[in-house]
Amino acid sequence: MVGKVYSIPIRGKADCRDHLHLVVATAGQNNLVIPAFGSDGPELQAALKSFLSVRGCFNYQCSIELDNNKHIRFLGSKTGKLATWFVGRRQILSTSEIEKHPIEGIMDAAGMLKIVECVLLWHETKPDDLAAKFVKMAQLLLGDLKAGKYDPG
Amino acid sequence: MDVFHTIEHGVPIVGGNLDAWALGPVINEAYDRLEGWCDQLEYENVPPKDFIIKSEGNRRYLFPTFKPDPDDFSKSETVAMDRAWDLLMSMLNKGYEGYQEAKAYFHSNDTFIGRAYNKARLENRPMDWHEVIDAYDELHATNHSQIKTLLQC
Repeated sequence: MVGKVYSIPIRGKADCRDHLHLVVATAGQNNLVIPAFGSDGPELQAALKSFLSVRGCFNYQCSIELDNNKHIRFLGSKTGKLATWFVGRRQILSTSEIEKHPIEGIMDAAGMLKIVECVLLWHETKPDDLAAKFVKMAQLLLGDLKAGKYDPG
Repeated sequence: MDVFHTIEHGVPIVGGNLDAWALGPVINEAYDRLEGWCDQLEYENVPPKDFIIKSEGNRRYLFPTFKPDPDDFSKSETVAMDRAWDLLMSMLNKGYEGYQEAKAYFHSNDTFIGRAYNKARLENRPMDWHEVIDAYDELHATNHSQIKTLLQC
C-alpha cells in the first residue's frame, strides 16, 4: 500500500470533508497515513500556528508542501493542486479501513522522498509521537528511495 | 484512550465518531469491528485473527493470542492508554458496585466526559470534541484551546 493515495475523511471530525491521504508505512494491519490540505486554507494556517505555539515546532518540522499535480499519478479524472502534507496530523488506519475509500493515485519517488524526510524530521522533533515500528519502516523506505529502489506499483 | 490522546495531542488513536449511546460514549466503528468478529464466529465459525472469543451468558470476552509489541505504539499513545486503563479499572475492579460507579461517571455532569455526553445525548447527535475539551478545561482549570484549533484542520 505504501505510496498509494486515497481520498479519506479526517477521523474525529463529524463534519469533515475527504482529503488525500498518503500511505507512508505499513506494519501488519496498521498503516501510517499522512493527510494533505489545500495550502491556502485558513484552517490549515491556524493549525500550523497552533503546532508552533502548542507543540513548539515550525512548519517545516511538521509539514511539507508539494505540487500534487506534479508528484501524484492520478488514476481517475482528478487533478492535483498545491497542497500541504501535514505530517503532524498523521493518522494510523487499518488496511481494511483504508480500502473502504477510493484510491486516487500513486505518489512518485521525488514526492515520497520529501514526505518521508519530513516524517523523520517530525520524529526527531517529537520523538513521543510515532511508534518505533513506523519510524523503522520510514527509515528503510528512505534508504530505498535514495537507492532508487522505490516501486509503488 | 481516544479522549485523553485527543485532549493532549489533537489526534485520536482509534478515531471515528464518539457516539452518545444509552450506556455511555462509544466509538461506533470500533464497536462494529468487535461485533463483526463475534458475528463471524457465531454464524460462520470463523474466529478473528489474533483473538479468542469466549461467551458467558450474553457476555462475550475477547482474549488476545499474542503479546503486543511495544514498538507498535508511540509514547504518547501508551500514556493515553495507561491513563484510560487506570481510570476505568479503578472502578471496574470493584465488581457490580464499580460498574455502577463507571456508569455514573459517564453520565454525570460533574465529570468532563459525562458533561459532554449529556449535551450530545440531549441533542441526539455524536459527541463533539470541542465540547469534550471545553468540559475538561472547565473542570480541571486547564486551557486546551490550541488543541481545539488543531482539530479544526
